[in-house]
Amino acid sequence: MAELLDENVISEHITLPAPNNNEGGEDTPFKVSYGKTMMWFFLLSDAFTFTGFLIAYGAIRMSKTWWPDPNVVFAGMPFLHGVNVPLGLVSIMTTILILSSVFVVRAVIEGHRMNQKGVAFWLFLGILGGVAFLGCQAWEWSHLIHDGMTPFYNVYHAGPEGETIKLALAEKAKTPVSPGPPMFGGSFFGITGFHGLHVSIGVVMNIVALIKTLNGTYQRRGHYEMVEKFGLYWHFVDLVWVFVFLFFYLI
Amino acid sequence: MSSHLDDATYHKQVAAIWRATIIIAVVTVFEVGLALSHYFFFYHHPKAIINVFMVLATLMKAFYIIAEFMHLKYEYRSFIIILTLPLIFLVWLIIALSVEGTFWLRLIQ
Amino acid sequence: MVTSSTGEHALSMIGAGSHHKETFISKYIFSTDHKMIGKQFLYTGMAWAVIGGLFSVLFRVQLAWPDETFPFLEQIFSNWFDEGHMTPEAYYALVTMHGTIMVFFVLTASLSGTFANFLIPLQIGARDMASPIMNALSYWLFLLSSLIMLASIFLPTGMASAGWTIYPPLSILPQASSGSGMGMTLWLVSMVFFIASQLLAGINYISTVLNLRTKGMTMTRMPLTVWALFFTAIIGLLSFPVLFSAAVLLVFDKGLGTSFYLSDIFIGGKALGYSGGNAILFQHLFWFLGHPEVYIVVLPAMGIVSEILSLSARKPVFGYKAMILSLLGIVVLSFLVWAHHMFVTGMNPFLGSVFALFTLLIAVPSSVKVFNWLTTIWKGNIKMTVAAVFSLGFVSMFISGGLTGIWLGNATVDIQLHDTYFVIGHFHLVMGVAAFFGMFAGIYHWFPKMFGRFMNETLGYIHFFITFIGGYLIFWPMHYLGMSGVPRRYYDFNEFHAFSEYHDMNLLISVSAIVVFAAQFIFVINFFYSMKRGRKSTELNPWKVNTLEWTTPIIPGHGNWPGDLPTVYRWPYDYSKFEDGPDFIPQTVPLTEADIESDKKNLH
Repeated sequence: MAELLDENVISEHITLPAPNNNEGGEDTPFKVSYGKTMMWFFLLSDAFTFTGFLIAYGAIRMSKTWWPDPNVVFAGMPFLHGVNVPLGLVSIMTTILILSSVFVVRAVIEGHRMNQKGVAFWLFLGILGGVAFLGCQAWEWSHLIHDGMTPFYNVYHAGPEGETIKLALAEKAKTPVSPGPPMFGGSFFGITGFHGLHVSIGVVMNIVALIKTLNGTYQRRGHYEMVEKFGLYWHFVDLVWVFVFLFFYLI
Repeated sequence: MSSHLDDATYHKQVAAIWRATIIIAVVTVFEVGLALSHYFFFYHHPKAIINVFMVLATLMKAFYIIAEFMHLKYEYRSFIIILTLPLIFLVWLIIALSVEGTFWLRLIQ
Repeated sequence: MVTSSTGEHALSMIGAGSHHKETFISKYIFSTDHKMIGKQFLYTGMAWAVIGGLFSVLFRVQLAWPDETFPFLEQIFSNWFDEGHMTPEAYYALVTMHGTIMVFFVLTASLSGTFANFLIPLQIGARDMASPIMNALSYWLFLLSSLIMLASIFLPTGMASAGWTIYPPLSILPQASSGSGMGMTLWLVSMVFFIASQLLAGINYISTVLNLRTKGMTMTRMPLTVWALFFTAIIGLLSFPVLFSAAVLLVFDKGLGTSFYLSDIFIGGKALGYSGGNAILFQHLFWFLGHPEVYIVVLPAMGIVSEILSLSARKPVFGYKAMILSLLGIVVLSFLVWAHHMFVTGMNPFLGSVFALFTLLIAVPSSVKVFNWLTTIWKGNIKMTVAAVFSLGFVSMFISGGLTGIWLGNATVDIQLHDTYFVIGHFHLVMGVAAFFGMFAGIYHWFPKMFGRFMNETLGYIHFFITFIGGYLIFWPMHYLGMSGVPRRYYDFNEFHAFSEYHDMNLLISVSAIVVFAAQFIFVINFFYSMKRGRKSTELNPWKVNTLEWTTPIIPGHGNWPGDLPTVYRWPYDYSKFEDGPDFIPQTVPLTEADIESDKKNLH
């Protein structure tokens, strides 16, 4: 105790042993490192963000007597102009994103084996999937915007029997008030946009992980936990997409 | 991580991942099939029952993504509980706002 | 798996500190030391509290003397006064900003920011937070959001004025009020950074508490302060994201012309382009944060008070497990009750009754806590330090304010009392003054650990008594005003014949408010004077406390313990355990046979 009270010891900056989870001998309660714990809790809070968005959209949609049929709205396909393929593109997008998620899981497993080449290979495939998904989304957005859809204007409106009819582009100038429920565009662009932002961030994170893997940073560090953490985020993006897919495209 | 994977566990993990992938793929095909069959065959019938099945299918997919891809199934049980229990707040938010949404519909009708 | 990443990370952090000479900037400004970050939160919060308090005094002046002119105020706040009178726009803007500043910047960021940063590593026996850089980042994001909010005060068009709840359409339509333009935009931008800061901080606190406890510090040996701060972080982590999504949709409505929250709106007979949204949707999403937010405000204070009452009474805290479970109960219930703020908005009445039921349930954990505080001090040999009197003040305020919460939780009664001064009186007592009292108690108590000196006790008592009596004088009459139907957010009551009778009471409230605001400068002066000139702390453990922070050097360096981390053997409340033994037994003292015997008899 005496030396603690010594003024010099107190005021000087003392060189200290490095703190870590195992200091003192107590194990972490969940056998999960602090970095992964943080990522998990961040994802938990992000789940609340997305639920906030989705339930706002849900409440608004429930308060409407009529809503456009997604099978009609989302029927465009790249390179197949004028051919109607209901839910075609979005099914491809879903497949791409889920496969990309699988590739990243494979990268994580290879990381556990310290297989640098394996990690890099699967991560590369995962990034390709992410970029392909973003490309599809960009096409879909521009397709919808080309048709005259905006966040506050909906060209899809109810026909006499409740079917979904598209307002011709030429008619749009003559109808200043949105013929269909305007919140269709608002919530679609808002929520898929926010999800797309997450995908973009995830792609950037995976690219960083890929570069560091190729540099051998993780190999020298002795573990690929960073790939695992970024992977958690990437799967979360996939998880959100599953729900966006359900509420915007299927129901 | 400090003790690296032995081959047996490795093959087991990879097999589990591909199994989950196949399940998710099948469920997705099922969902899209439901949606399209409603569109093509039962267009003028209510969609409510199909919606229920699609929500259940999505929850199943979500389970496999969280449990297998995010590896949560293999963490400590208390960790799983800590992470999943707060979702009941979301359930209540969803219930409350669904009640409100349908109430707003009733008000305008 | 667990060692490497943290170890390396922290080594680089601390290594940088020890090998290079510390400059003023690296030590006091861009510090990653959790104690310094806690102090930074404290200073910023104090600055905000003064601004927020000043705003409340300004609008209380308007309410007390609506017919007088104040040329001298006009000279200082020329933006807000016109011919010596405060403009109605300025009144609403001041009310809005008073709420925003006090709730978010002082009682959320600063209260839990200060004490979570300062206490969590010290009390669980960690060298620093799990991620010191993220911790520093959370402070810098908070400062950034503070500066943006500060900038909005000086806008020529006026600051946000839609109430701290920023209900649309007031907050969306620039035509609604002058503050709904740029002022509201800056408010939203500031809040985005604020939420990011809260998330970074919350994630950090949670993983620190879960992963960095020292040897022997099991979850059930943690002090109640750490428990309270831990739960606070969880509430923040789960509720702020929903405010984020609500605010993002509001930004879409404001900037992109979507109509999530707006239905058909006509201004001057001309229809705006909005259609199909619902303003109540925003209120739901806002209060999904807004209600847990009041627990974010009050839980840290509860933890601090539990700790200080126990050590001042020299008695173990009564019902330690019940305290933790009631905290948990409050956390859970806080997410189920939000719509009791919206009983009069026209929401589904059936849903309202469900919310009323959940709301009344909150009385259960709250009264468990009050009961436990009272039984903790029951027959105790209470040392009336300044921290102790503030803690007792907290309990008093919490009871008086909490009881009226039961009234307001009833949908039927609330319809009568909603939007009256009764509500103002209720929440200021229960989460305003009470949370401030918890904060003061904490500062008086941990001041020696922060700065190695004591605060002046006499000034402390004066500060307490003026604030305590003044606090009741401000908020108690408001209940009567509210029951008589005087509505909140009114700019000038003399315009209404029915309300002009209550002018005397408004005058009393305003005078008390000015006195209480002035009394806070006693604290500010005491704080800064004692920092430099206060009585020096020469003992390691001046308050004779069991918790770990008092085993560090008087002013701990970065890393907190010079040698190995302490090992914990017992819970933190072994006060007066044996009749002939020592008055207190620190957590680092190994258990003896007598301890084991005694613990068998009194299972805590």
